[in-house]
Amino acid sequence: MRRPTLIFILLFLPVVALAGKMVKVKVQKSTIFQEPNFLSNTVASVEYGDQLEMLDERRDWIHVRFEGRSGWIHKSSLTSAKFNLGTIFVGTPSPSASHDEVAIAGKGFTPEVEDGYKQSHPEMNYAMVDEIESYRVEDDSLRDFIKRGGLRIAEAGR
Amino acid sequence: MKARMLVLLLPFLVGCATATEVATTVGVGTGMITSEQKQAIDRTAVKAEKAARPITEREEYYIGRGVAARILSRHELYNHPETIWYVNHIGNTLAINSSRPCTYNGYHFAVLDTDEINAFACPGGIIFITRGMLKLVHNEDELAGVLAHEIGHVTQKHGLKAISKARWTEVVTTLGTEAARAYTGAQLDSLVSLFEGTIDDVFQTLVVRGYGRTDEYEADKLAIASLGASGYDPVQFQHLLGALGAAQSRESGGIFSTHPNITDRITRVKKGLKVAEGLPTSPDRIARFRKIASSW
Repeated sequence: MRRPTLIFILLFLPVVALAGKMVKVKVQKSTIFQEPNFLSNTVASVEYGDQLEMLDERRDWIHVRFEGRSGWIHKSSLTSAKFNLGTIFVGTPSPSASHDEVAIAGKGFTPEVEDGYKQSHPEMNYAMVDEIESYRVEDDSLRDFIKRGGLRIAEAGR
Repeated sequence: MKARMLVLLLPFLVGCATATEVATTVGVGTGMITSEQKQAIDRTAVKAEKAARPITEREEYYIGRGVAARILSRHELYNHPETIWYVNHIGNTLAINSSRPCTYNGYHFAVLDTDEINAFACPGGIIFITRGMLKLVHNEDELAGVLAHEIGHVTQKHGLKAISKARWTEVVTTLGTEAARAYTGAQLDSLVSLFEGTIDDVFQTLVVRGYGRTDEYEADKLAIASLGASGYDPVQFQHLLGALGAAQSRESGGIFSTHPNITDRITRVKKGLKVAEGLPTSPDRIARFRKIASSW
């Protein structure tokens, strides 16, 4: 095979391979946005373990389809062993994408282990931790805060 | 000939999950190994990978909660709703402009009711700033600098580096290779004990020993990047370090014993700044800081 043909195949292979790949949500809750931007409109909310079909990739954002709707989700929400083709060929997995975290989630440090720790250490203030985790920043409120403060969200996340 | 073989194998390589699978697929394709040998090698590689598996983000979250609970067993929270609202808005603006905007349960920012000047980042995204630190900063951009530095520790998972390798290996060994549906009593006892040790490893590094210079310099560098991306003035980060340096002459311990020399940090930060002079701050940003800082 001539070298130009090989280069041609190598160049277009990632595009062909990307469509149809499934990725999983590795965070408790995340959002699929209309545009690759955290302040864009919400298309769908997804939860830990949800499987999304990967359509395209732009910087740190992945274009996905979920339950018939498509939009953009930040890659730090996702996990997949086959996430980035570059990692297969170069052989250096990116820290966020090298393991299927969802598949091994039922093992290791789980809520069951935390409960055991709480029982043996009642002095640890988990009630306050829960209170801190209840602090929520609403999208509209953050949008307004950013705008009024002369701040910004970089395009496509960075 | 080699190029032709590679092209023929490409469709199969794309489906490979690991570098080992890529190598064994090539090995079979080129006749170097048999398909039986490939399967054996792949199985061994999967086992080895499981044994060496990193801490998942869900586990990172539970470790972070444990570290936060331990910090909160020694400190009270500053329950001032306006301040909590304010630091969480600044923090989330910076987080979405960082390299890791999404963690398992997101970023949460809280204020510890102590005059000590300090800030801590628990793995997974719970970030503490003390009331003493709030009193030290002169404007929203400096406050953002404190939070951006802590977010840098979370994005790079610096806290998890404190966990003893031997302890983590024991966790993975305790779990075994079979996908058990529930832990046995002994397994759970062992994991709870390992969980306690893990929390202690991270807590000691965060609160007592400090992360180490390289991680601190990296967090400073990332802070400048996320401040700039968010529209904050990165030069104010240098001013923040100056204020910390001035406070160091009055106080000792705490943040001053867990962080590298302030002069060194300022020198490095100066080199990383692209703008020679500070950016103008919006009048709204000045006003909202003044209003809320009067209550600290």
